[in-house]
Amino acid sequence: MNCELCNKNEANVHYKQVVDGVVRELFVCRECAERDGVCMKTPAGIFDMLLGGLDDDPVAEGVTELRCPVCHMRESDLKQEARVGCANCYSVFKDRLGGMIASMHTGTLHRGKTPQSVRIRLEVGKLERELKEMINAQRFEEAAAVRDRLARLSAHNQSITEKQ
Amino acid sequence: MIENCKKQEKRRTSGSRTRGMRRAAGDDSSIVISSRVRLARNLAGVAFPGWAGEVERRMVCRQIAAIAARVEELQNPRILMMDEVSPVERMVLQERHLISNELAEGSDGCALLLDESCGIAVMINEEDHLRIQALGAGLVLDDIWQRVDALDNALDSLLEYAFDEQFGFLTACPSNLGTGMRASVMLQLSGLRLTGELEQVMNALDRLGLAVRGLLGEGTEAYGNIFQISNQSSLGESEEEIVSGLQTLVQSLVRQERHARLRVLQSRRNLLDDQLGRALAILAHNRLLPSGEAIDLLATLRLGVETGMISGISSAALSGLMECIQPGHLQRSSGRGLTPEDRDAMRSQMVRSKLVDVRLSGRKHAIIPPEDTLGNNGQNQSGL
Ligand SMILES: [Zn+2]
Ligand SMILES: [Zn+2]
Repeated sequence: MNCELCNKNEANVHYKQVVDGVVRELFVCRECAERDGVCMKTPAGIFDMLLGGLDDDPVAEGVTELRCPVCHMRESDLKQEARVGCANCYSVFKDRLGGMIASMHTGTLHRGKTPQSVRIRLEVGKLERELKEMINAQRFEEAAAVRDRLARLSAHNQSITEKQ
Repeated sequence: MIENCKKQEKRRTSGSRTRGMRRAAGDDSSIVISSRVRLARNLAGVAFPGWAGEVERRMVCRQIAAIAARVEELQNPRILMMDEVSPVERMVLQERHLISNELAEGSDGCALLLDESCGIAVMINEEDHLRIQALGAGLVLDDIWQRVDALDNALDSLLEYAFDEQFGFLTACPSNLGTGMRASVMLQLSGLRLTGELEQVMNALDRLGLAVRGLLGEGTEAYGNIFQISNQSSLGESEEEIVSGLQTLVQSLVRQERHARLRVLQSRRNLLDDQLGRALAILAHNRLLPSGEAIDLLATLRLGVETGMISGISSAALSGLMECIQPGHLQRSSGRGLTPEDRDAMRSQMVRSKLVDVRLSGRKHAIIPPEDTLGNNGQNQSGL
């Protein structure tokens, strides 16, 4: 039989797993198994979670389907592709993906690296709030120091944007 | 190709930084074959490769090619457009774990940014725009994480990554959100297989949220009892936590494996002797050697080397050989397409020629006949 995921290659990997008390069987090719991290010892493969999570609520006829305005991926495409189309899809399909993301990972909040530009943006926001407070409290000397730091940061940010 | 194999052996055994770390970690290299770290990254404002069109994918390739020369972390970056790389070369890259199956298919607009001198490979337009990865021999997760981290920082200053404060780096598959990191270690668990504890250990790893995959084989019947263990979750922990979590776990696994080998050596020596004897007999007299069987036999030899029962070859050399006997490597060295039977014959000869110095410890005579004693007229293709 053909792989249930790509419908292209011969299915030579067989998964059987219990999801919500229901036994699911999945016959896939080695490529799909590898690509999708459906691992031999994974109790709930990514695909099962993805499909399982989205399956239960089929789009009713006549109802406008949720669609990403940036990449034009529709909810039905998401099901089909089992991948999001672009970064913006995460905002569009947040409600549909949230539960799945939580079940796949140890946490729901990123605690790793942050890109330089985002770090600077966050820092600028923080300094601007501080500056406001200082001016309100008439602590002008400290405010001047903060304003200098802000100026340096935006100059730095400018150079990054130019490089990119 | 032999030259290439030698280079790989050299790479595996040299490199003072790597060796120092390995020694510090208590010579885990006898059980751990290799470590690998990859980061998934996407460019802001561009559809992810699987959903994007070919034009967009080619644009991403051009963008990366344009900045590669400006990245100080790279010494000799080369961009290989997959549709321009021959099928055999793609197979070789895949067997070296530098590209995935998906990239090996050579679809349009996929590329590999490769820097051999830095041991870094960046897949362009695989599932994500960038898959930054580094590999190293032995348990060297910290070392390769630092390399990947440095390149990531350099690319970050030249590109704009798709990022979200809650979900971290945004990836095509939600399973890679957060750090976008997959850290993995390849190790040989023959001792635990012999003591019958492998299944139990696998279940424990599974409960700890780690993925276990066999090398080439499927299920627990992995060739050579070689497994790849990796983190599954990438969101909710920092990169350092993921790396050190896996490192700690692998170290404990290494202790268990070492302990299992010791027990087998002490109380079930016959079992080990038997396996080794059978492996040597087949290695000495086979004339057609399929790659799965070759991996099995070489892994048994590796176990023999590690338990001190065999001399005349190093573990690293055996690992190198496992790589060189794969179909793509063989076809490249022969310079022509080979039928599966041709490959099995060539592999058989190459393996035997590499094992002529192998001896049972304490004995003088070689085990693998140096010459083709069956009177086969095939010339020594391996060039040794
Ligand atoms: Zn498939
Ligand atoms: Zn989208």
